[in-house]
Amino acid sequence: MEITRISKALNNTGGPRSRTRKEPVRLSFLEALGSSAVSFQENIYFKLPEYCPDIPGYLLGLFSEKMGLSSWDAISLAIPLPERPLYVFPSLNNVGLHSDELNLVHALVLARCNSFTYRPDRDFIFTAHRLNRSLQLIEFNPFSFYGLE
Amino acid sequence: MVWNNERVLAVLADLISENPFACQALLSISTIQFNTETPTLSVSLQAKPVLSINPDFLAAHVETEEELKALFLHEFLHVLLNHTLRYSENSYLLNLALDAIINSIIHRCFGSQYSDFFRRFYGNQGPTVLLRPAERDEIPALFLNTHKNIYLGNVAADDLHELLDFLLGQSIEPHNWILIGNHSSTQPVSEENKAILDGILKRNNGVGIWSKGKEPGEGNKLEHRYIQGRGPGIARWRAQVYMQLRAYLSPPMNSLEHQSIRLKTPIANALDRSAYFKWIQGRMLPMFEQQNKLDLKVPRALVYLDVSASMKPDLVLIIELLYALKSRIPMEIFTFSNAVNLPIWKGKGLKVSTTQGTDLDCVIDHMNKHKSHRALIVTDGYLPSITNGLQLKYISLFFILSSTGSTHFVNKYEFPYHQLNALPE
Repeated sequence: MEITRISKALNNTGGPRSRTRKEPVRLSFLEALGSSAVSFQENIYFKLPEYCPDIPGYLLGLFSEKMGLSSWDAISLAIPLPERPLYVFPSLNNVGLHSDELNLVHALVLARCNSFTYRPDRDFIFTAHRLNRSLQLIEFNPFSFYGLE
Repeated sequence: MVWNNERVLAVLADLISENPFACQALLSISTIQFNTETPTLSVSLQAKPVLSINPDFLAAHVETEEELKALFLHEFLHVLLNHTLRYSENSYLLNLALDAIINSIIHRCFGSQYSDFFRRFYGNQGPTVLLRPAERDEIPALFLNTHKNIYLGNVAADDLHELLDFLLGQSIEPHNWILIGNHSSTQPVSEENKAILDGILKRNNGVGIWSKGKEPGEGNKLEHRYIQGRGPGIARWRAQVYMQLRAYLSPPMNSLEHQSIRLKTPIANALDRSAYFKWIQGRMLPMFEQQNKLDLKVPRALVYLDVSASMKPDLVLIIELLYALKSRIPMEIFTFSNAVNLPIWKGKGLKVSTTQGTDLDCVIDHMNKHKSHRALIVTDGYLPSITNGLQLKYISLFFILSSTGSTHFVNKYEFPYHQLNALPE
């Protein structure tokens, strides 16, 4: 029969540095350490054709063709976008042209991302610079990170 | 490239969102006008900011969104630098110099994606090669070194202007070179817009634009200077004087002074309340200050330092040496001019009170009042006659004279003295 007893006391044997504890050290906000402070949202990517003089018109055509949404009002009502601010990081994933519904949603998200953040209250800015990108969206909750919740 | 107004506005909105050079403060409130009156682009700041864009110019010369952003940034930086303009008149050479610096900034910060426009728009004609990044074989020999320094960020706008003036002279004709932006005579700027530009300038330190900073602490271009250090002579002088002062301040020069101190013993005394509270708080038995006093005779050197106006330049060095000595030899330092004062040590310096005059009578009175018998007087020797000579019988004085001091006084009264060596040049 084996008896196991767990002592909750901090055992100090008197030797140098005998009382120790291990504590994880955060190296980066992006390390997944089991806390709810940092959470990875998703990879988003889109690619425009080489020659696209009218980007909003091109996207509207895709929305109309793939999802039956022919106006921006209908698109904003039908498509749910992230409602909280997110941090943006470049992604190493390949950028490809997809015509499925998911990438059209990515185009809308990319149109609201500048080089640093996504904000739900920003206007859509349809430029080739914004839409020809592959990004990682990270959600960071500072209150959870600092244990204030 | 086909540029419709919506696309141009979208590119501008993208640039504002990125906010390079803090341009958001100005561009976000600017009204955008598309017209052919302006040759390229221009910004008016007389009232509400207005950014005028010639769509024909964009269609003819701009191929990508990045190049359009480079144009916006060029115009923005031009407005910003015109705000800091140190020249009362706008000349072609000054515009050329500013444009060269601006384009080099855009190239260094954003790379060839942005600066390809300048590479295409400006050819190799004369000084316009300075307005674009170029390969070595594209640059005329006259501008080779200048071009390299501009694109390394080693040249500021005013330096380039002076250089171009030297190389080309003010008589240079612009030929048919087009400079981007509004380069006509300087337009007035409204007070609100000036405040906006000042706010933007505070966020950009302007290093690399002008060679002479405007604000305190503002950095200038890197310069190489030779700073002459103190030679070994001054170190030798200090060492000699240090040894001399130490010798004169040590016994038998020291004057014995009476000093009363309170004894501290581990015998409890309720009158020493702080020690009593420490004891009742359960700490170890403290030392209690007793009521009895102990009179001790403490050897202490007495120094009177002349702080009249004629004591410079030795005074600074002597104070430094006394500071070094006071931790080794118990001494009391007084300063005197026409009255004796107790100075305050502030770091390694002395805070003194002085009338700029000199009188030894006050020193003698002070010594008699405090029953001092011996003292060291550090002075330059330019002292008036003593009026209370009878009191000299009971005191003994030794004089240290500065290197430029006079021995007339000490010889007249037959005081012992030592004159310091001359300060090395």
